[in-house]
Amino acid sequence: MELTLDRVTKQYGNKIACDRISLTLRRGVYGLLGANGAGKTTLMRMMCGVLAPTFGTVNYDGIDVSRENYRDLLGYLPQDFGYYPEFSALDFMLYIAVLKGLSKVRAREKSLELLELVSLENEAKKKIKTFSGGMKQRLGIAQSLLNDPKVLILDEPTAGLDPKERVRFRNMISRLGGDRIVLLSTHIVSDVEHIADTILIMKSGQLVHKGTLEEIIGTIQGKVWECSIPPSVADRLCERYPVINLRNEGKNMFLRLISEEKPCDCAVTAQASLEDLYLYYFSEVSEG
Amino acid sequence: MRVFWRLVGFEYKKILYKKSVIIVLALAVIVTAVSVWGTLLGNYYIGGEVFESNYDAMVKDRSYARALSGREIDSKLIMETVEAYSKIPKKDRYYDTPEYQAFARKYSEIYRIVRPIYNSESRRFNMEDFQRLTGEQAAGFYAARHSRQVQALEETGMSGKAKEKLIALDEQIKTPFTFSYTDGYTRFFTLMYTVGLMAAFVMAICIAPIFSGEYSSGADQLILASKHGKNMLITAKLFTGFTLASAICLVLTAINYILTILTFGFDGLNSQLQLYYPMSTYPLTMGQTALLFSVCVFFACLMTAAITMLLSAKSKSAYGVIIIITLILIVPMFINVSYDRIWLYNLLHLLPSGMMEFGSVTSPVQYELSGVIVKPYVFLPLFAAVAGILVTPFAYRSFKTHQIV
Repeated sequence: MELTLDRVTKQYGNKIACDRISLTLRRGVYGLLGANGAGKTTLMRMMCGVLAPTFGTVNYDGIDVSRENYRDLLGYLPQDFGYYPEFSALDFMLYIAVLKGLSKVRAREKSLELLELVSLENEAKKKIKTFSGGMKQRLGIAQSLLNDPKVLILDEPTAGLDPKERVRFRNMISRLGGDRIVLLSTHIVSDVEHIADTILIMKSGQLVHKGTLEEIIGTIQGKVWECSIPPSVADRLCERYPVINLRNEGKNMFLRLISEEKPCDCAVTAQASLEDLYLYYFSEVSEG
Repeated sequence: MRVFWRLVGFEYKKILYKKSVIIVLALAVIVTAVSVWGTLLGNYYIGGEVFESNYDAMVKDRSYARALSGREIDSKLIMETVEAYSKIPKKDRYYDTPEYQAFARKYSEIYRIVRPIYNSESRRFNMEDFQRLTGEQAAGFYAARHSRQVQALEETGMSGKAKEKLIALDEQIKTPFTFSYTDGYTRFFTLMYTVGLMAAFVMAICIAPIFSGEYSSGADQLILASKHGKNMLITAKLFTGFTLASAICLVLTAINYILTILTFGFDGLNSQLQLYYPMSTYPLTMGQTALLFSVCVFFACLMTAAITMLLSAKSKSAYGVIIIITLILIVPMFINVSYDRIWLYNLLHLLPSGMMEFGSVTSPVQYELSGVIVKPYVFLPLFAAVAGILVTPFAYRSFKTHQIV
């Protein structure tokens, strides 16, 4: 079970959305992090075979991703995708099930089972146009699992979910990663932090980092600082360093920031987290 | 195969679940029915007074025509008509005179068939001329028709071989014509153009989103990443588009035919086409013509469906597709090309709206390809079928290779 990307490149005119990405994904959960425009969605689309690379190849156990037998193993939740507003949730699930090649009986069983899994069993016969954003997202998650995929690609799966649903869904993904390849992209760093076995970080179309949470955090270990300082000093530091956290503490301001060197005399190093790392990598982008 | 039919079922659901589609389909049925009955609504006025209702007029004219049905249009019947028309005093609106109502109206259908044959290139044979028609002229009715036919064919840009073929065809037409009441069929022919255009337009509205709707909604991502999304689903979509277009066209044609025939009468099925179109060169009956005309309209609708689906697969906007199809259907209606520029004339009639005209289906102008001469009512549906078959793979490929950007 290997999804292999070999020098995958996607170019739109002068803009390179993905730049020579080579990667091998095996069983487990992969979290893809990157700022807006980093190329995450483009990369995922190429991995799903819905966007052809300008250069390079994507294969699953030797099968090109443009082939039907790869799509048979694929589950995909796009970032923004369309529903048929007049369809009920069950109709929609049954339709996707047919597209995925499930038999009529199996399609019904699996659809009802998954609707229950995403807590939509009572809304199964309601039209999708009456659904909230979160309900639509849950339906999207459910459809991606219909064919019990070996490769599950989820683009911003937790967007629009309330915290309780997010945690539930996060746990579900963790379980799914046991016997398949799961790749999810998100802006919610804590989601990746909690469930991803491997974290991939993209910046400007390039894969800038790949590793476990510990490995990745290791790159900024010792660069995360905390200090309690007067507001005037805090203003000066905010201008110079990426600030992760800022709050009032009586007359002083508490700051958590990233810096290669000690930012001020009273600063002490703190345990780095993935959020710190995200900011470390994308501070330029965030400022822009 | 089961998967295919389930996909077709869902495609139908996607189309028919839309309220706009149901409204458009219902409107098409209503407009077809109203078109059939529209001419019967209201009254006919003479001198500001209601003379009779249009429905009563139809019933009266039908009974007059039926009284003459079965009679040959020979010199005897023509002279009877001349005699009846001779009683009408000279007046601009001669049909408002009591003499017309009392004597000539009974023969109005014979007058309609006979009079134009005596038109000359420079002069229209009018009612006064008809009143003076001699027995000799009446006896030469079919000779006059033949001579006009030869002259009309000479004026076209067709090859000598095509002209000879048409003259030979014309000679197969049984003369003298046997008169019959045929209003059921002639009304069907008149309305079929509107019904065909409406069917094509309604069909375009229904199937324009078949591919483009997936692009604009974003459902294309799910479809193209699924097992059957790049092959069987596309076939199912094309099948749905063609079958829906066929169903719309057949249902509207059937409504037109049934309502027209029920309203105006069944008579005339085996009558000669020349009773409606005296100069036609084709030895066809009304029933055969109705069938051939319906086949041409049907294939024109299928060709429109193929073009609609190609545009749909290429475009992200269903509205854009509908606008282009509307232009394809409407613009040619305003272009008039004469017989002498034969290639342009023939080309124009290969467009969907051209194929739906009674005039182009029964036109004397033949399609000539490498010496093979084909009648328009054979060539038009064949062309539509071939064009549809050629266009469809492009629609298939467009969706299959669509990139989610």
